[in-house]
Amino acid sequence: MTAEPLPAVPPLSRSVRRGGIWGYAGRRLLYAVGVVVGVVVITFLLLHLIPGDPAQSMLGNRATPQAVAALRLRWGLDRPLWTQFGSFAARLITRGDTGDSLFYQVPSRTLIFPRVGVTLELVVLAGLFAVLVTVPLALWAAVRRDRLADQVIRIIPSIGAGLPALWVGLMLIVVFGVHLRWFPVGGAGPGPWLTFRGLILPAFTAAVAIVPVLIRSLRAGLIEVLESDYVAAARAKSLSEPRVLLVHAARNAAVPTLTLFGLNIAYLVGGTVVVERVFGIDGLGNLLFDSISNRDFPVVQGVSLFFAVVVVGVNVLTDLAASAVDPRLRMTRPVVRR
Amino acid sequence: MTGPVLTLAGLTVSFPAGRERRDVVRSVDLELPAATTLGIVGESGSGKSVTLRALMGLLPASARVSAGMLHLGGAPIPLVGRGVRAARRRRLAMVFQDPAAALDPLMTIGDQISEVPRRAFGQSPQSSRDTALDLLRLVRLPDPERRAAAYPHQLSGGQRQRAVIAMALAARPEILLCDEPTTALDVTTQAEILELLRGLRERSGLSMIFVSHDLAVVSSMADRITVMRSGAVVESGGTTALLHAPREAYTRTLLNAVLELPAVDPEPATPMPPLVGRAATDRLRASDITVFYGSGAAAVRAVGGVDLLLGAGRIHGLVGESGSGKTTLGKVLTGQIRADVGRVVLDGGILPARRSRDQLSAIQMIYQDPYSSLDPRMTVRQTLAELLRRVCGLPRRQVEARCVDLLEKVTLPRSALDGYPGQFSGGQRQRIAIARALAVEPKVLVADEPTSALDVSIQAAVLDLLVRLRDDLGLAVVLISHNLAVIRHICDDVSVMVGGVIVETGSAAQVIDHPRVGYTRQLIEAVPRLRKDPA
Amino acid sequence: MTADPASDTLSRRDTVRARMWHSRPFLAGAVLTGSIAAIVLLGPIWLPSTTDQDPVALLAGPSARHWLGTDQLGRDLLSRLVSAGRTDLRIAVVALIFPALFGVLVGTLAGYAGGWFDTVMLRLVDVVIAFPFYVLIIALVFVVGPGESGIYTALALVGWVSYARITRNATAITAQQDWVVAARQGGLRTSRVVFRHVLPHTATQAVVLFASDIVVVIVAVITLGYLGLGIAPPTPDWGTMIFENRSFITSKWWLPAMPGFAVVLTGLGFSLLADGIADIWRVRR
Repeated sequence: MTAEPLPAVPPLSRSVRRGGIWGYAGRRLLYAVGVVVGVVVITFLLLHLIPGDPAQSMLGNRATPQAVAALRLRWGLDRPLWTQFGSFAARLITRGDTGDSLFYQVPSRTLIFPRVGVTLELVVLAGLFAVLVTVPLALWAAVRRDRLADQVIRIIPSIGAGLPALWVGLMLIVVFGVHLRWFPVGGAGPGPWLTFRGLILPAFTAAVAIVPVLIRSLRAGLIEVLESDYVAAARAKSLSEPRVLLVHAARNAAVPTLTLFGLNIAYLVGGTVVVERVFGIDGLGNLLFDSISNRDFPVVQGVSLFFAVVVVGVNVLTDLAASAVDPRLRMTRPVVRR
Repeated sequence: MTGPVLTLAGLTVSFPAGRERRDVVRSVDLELPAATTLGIVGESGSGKSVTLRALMGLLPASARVSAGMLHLGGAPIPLVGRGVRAARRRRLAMVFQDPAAALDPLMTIGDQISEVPRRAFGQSPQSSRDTALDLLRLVRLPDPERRAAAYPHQLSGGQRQRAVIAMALAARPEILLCDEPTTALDVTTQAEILELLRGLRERSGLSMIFVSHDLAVVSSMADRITVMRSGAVVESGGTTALLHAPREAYTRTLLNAVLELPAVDPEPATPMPPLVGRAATDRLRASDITVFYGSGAAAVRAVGGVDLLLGAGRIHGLVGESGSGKTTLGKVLTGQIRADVGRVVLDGGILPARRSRDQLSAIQMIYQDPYSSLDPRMTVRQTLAELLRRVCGLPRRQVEARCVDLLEKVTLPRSALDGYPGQFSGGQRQRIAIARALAVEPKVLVADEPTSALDVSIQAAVLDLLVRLRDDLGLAVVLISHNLAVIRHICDDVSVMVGGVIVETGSAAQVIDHPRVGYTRQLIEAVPRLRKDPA
Repeated sequence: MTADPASDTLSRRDTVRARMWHSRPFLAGAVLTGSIAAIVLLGPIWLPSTTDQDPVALLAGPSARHWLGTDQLGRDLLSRLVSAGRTDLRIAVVALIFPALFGVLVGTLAGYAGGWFDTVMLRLVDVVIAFPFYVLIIALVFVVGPGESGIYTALALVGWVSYARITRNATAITAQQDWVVAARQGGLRTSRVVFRHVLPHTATQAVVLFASDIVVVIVAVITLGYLGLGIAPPTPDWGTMIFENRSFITSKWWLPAMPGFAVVLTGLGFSLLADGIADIWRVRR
């Protein structure tokens, strides 16, 4: 088009070459491995938080001295801390569990893995509900900022913050299970459809725990984005309003929300523990409580460790998803010396 | 010439202020004849940007247009409400002040431009892409094929602004609204972008409204100029007439505040003797300063082997574009950053890598942003008294008198002592920041762009203050600035930095009026000058 | 353009006071939490004892004598609600205040000093938040023993993390502000710079977090009570009250519902208060 000679091309900045998604994924995974190692250490150290003699404490006062001594030997409580950790870690790596159940006398793994499915189903369904509730409400509030809809939606986080899952579950059971009979009361039934129907109320209860935070953040993020220059520029270049909102505004607001969702997944997962108890679902949460009433320490360790690893994994996934949307996140920032 | 392509009559816009509303723009009239450029000049708070956003139909929801009529090519166009943007299709487009903010960070440059022909004009994907590439070539973005696939953060400021202009042109406007399009850019980049806009205008018969705080920039672009102040039009007129014979006092004030650079001597000056060794009263000497950011293979050299000599009672200008290392060098001098190589000598004593508190306070800094340089939770009295008591060890009963004395030095009244920073204007805050620096009786003052966040009419007062402090207190001052006119105006000596090294040093008159180095010459020639003669 | 031009003409104290009166969340939150605190502190003066059993009114409905009725042992529900609120609020505040202070201190050090301390702290924070809140709290209470001291220990081990993280980030940003750099360059001692020029600005975030965190901790205390790991009967606690009365949900619904409403109302009060403080101090939540 123009006849002017083009200036010489300087190389694209270093970040272009460094900002590959695989490089970022590698670094992120490496970091996650570090966190998992930390998680294993904390899980191991739980035993040593028990006041007094852990073996005696677990077996109770009526246990024979021989039994206590046997457990002390099994846990290696006389050996130095790092050898204890060594055998704990070795068993974890080779056998994939945290020791034999004191109550059932089987590897804790055989108690945990059969219950993973139903708990994961519950978590996924709850996450799905949370997104389905959050996104439309936050969008509505942000677009109608300071109008009635916004005023009403803005109160939701404040009310939701103080809703105990156990109480919400109880109330939902009464209203939808007992009075309206829409959903079964006794947890998951046999077969996929009954399982799904049985999980709706529990999943909704679990979702209630994180919806407030998500609404607040997504609304704030959307408002910030809607006031940004690039949304003004998108409007100025005569794009239609739906395209401005869905392509430019929503994508930008989704990035921080995705990260926040990753952070809150821990809270959601923790909430399902309580929800399982309230609804009587035989998942990992119930196993945790049963193990606590049975004073079955290795299983408590195993369940905690499993949950933490799941959370780390989900965090990796949300971070990768966020970085797929936002290329800036793939760069490592240069360290500035102070 | 045919009738005006755009007329705006009686625009009044209000924003909420506490419980009431406040008119930010009051009865503004504008007229833009076809294929001409209208410049709007004004300081912060003049309402120039709000006026432009109102034209574009981009006012925030909290704004209310209480009066005003807009006509494009004779047809009335709504200023607010439904259809506000549809009415502007193919007529108006906008170039924003900060190109980094105006581009969607999550979308490639190419996609952001091609979505306009694709979505707004229904072209096929392939022809949309071709249009985008054509536009990128039109704005002379180097290597358009590769840059089209880049994300905004991967481009430099000037490249981003070219992309924003291409995006605006994609909307096929008759009128281009430019909101301070070069304010966020370096002076040489600014010259390039202004040149690009002029070229586009000539080639396509585009009309333009060009908003800026910089009278020199506007005068280089506009056929007619409108001066705005506090939301109202002060005066309008042809560029030459307005610059030669301003009718209003305020326009004269603005004109007088423009610091003029003399024309560059066409002949390179003869080499000068080096500055080192001349000053008998060396105050600060920095030698072989080298700073790396980052480590290992990713390390970037910010400053490389720089020598600097600072005499007592002199102002030494450090001039350069962004990324030249001038601010880093300033931070090394003040001890905020440790140099990887080199040393700083103050009054004959080498300053260690970890400076003592006395050594820190001997070299004080004035910061660029007057809005963040004062602790917003402390009154002026608290800010000053804290230093006087704890650093200077002044007895309690002398503190008050010394505070008043310091304020007098920066020409502020005693009543300012009980104010919080939020109560002061930018210029006043900058003077308070100077008073704070003086409180600890420094020997050297490093001022990092002390006036670039200030309106031009306030700039002069702060610069005069620096000159007075040099003369009255014998301070050695380092003035870091991108603004050559400011440097020429008050500096005794100048060093020009580029890419982390000093390429030229000498007296201000020598370096700026008779530059020896090509880069310096380029820099000086890029500075926009008031165009008083008819183009 | 979006900045409020009027705020520039007011002094900081005036703006904070003016914003206080103009912030609806703050006013509503202050009134609500204030009334709850007053009821919980002063209520026991005229309410019947929580342990008195009224043999003629077991599971009685609301009446002039018992405003909210009685439970299956004939104990006054309102008395027990108020007393439980007193217990739960006290535990929540005590359980949170020390970890919060510790977290702010650690976060400030990490954010200001940076270096290895910062790195270690951030890694530790990441490891702790990898555990789901309830899983870790439940496991910890089990390990150190149920009851009030167990709650304190468990929350102390977990609670500091969010304060450390939020304060660390705020400190790292504030420490770059020119006024902090200027204070350091002026020759002030590091302790003075940190406590006078950094902490007042970062503490606002911690205060807002504290107000909203109280709700989280109250809910946690109640959940532990419900699960039998918290406050042991007969001391009333909203969680144990819900658990004890859950079988009456179909016949005397208010018995388990009322403690829940009390929690929601308390939560609403503190959340609004947190919103309001965030409004006033312009802290982003």
